Amino acid sequence: MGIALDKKSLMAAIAGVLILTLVPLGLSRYALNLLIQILIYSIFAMSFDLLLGYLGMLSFGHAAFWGLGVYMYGILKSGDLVGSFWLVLALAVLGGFIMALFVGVLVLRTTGVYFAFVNFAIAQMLMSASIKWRSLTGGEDGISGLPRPWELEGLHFYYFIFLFFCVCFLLIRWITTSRYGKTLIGIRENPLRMQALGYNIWIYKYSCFVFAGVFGTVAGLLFGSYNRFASPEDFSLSVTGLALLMVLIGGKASQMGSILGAMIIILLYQLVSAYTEHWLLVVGVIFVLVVIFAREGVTGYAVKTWKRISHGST
Amino acid sequence: MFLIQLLNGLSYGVLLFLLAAGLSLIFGLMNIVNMAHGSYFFVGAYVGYAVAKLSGSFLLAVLAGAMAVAVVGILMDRFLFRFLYKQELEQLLLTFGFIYIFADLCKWIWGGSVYGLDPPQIFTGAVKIMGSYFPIYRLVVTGTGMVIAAGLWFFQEKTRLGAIIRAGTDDEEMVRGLGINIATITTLVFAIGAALAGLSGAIGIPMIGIYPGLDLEVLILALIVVVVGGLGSLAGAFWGSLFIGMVDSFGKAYFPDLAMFTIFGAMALILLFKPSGLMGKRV
Repeated sequence: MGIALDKKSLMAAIAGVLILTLVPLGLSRYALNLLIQILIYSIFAMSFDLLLGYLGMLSFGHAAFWGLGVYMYGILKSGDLVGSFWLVLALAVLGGFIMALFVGVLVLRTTGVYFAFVNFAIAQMLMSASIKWRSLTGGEDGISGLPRPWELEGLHFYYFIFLFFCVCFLLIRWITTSRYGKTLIGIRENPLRMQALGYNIWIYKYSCFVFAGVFGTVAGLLFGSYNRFASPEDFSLSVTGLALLMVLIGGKASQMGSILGAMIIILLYQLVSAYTEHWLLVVGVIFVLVVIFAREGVTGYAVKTWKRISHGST
Repeated sequence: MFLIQLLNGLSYGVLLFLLAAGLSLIFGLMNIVNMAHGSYFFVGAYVGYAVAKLSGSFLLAVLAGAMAVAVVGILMDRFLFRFLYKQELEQLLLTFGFIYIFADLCKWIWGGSVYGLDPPQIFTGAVKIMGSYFPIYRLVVTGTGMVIAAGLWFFQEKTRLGAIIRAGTDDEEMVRGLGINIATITTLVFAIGAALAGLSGAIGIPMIGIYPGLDLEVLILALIVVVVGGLGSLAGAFWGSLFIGMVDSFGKAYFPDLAMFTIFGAMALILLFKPSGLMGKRV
């Protein structure tokens, strides 16, 4: 199976699961909500990292999938159209899959900055659609008062989210540590060489895009169930920007990085909002600083420092 | 009616051109896509508005808007892009971060209300064309924009500096090998591009006003224009903006429910057949 199960990783994973299972028992409602947000955004960041970290492709439109997930929850759950959450999940995954299939064909005709923009345009189109299509999406007002899946609340809802987080984490880790994942990295580093070696680059890019899209949609779906509200804002550039920031700060091509990044950003938001309303300014400045000084992110620096320590200064 | 839409599309397209030209020039020479370009427009509009209110002179406002943004552009180039020489992804991300910074600063200084200005006295009112009225100011903007476009074209094609810039777009190393200080040139181009953005922001106030979210709106349009017309090409920016201006104008008139779809659809179609835009430089 190969989910990189060497002894150290396994210990770390068990420790992580234990912590995330037991600690919440003692947390306040407020802290619990923070943790839930961190887990949901981690999934989103990990999905974005598949494209940016492993494949090296930057998209400014990842919010398209997030928004799709949120709205699928909103549309299917408002008025309890679909009772079973499993059905909602299945439909959302299917929806994300289909959208990624279609969008991918168009979007992969481009590379580099063009790729980033076209994705952005797609997300904007969806935002536009969600505003115009009042009958389906509630227009500017969105869809509010959504129920929790199976009426789950508090700690139970947390474990629900945690379960999905674990599944997504394992799946994404499997993808990235397998031969498929290594091929993605190869394509990122030297596409020409990969082609010369006989790999079908396009299929790898396409499938990676689809994976990123599906996981992004799942993240959005979970957010919809947490936030109980769907709005056109869920398609905005700021949502994509959050994913980008989390991956950059935490470290590209790393699930731990995405999770750390999500944790840092969400906690930082709490801290900053307590003192000032200029959160966007802070975000922008952090962005700029990270890009100039710390583009490896936290995990990148941790790895570098570790190497320096263990290899000494001989 | 058709003529009015045509003129509408033309005036809007010309405004877009002023914005997109800067974006395209900057990319052509430096391979940076300035995601903060919409924010440049935004800042130019706010500064222009403030100066207009203080001085009562629209001309001064426009010049102030252009100058202010040019200064911002020069500072960004000198102090930030220098650190990230040749790292295109990082430069892109840096400018992205500035979208947040500018948006928040503008909101901090000027608040989140909607602002507007009347066009200068001499240009108020409308002209009767084929039975319908068309704002004189928009005609003025069209005219001014065309003049600037012609000026840019002349500068690029017929002057030595323009030739250097064109050469730099094609082969930067060669230009440096010829002993030309490309660093100063890039700062100059960045300043010009930024100034154009600020200029269009200020000029555009009587046409579209200022409101939160305008920075992203024009950014999207400018990006679509350069994607359609091709990054790095002034001609591409010109025809791209006119095209988008027309699509927007006629789209709003005949298919009001589809709004942005017409523009995005056009872009998607063009990308399907010409992934580098109509006249673009390969990315």
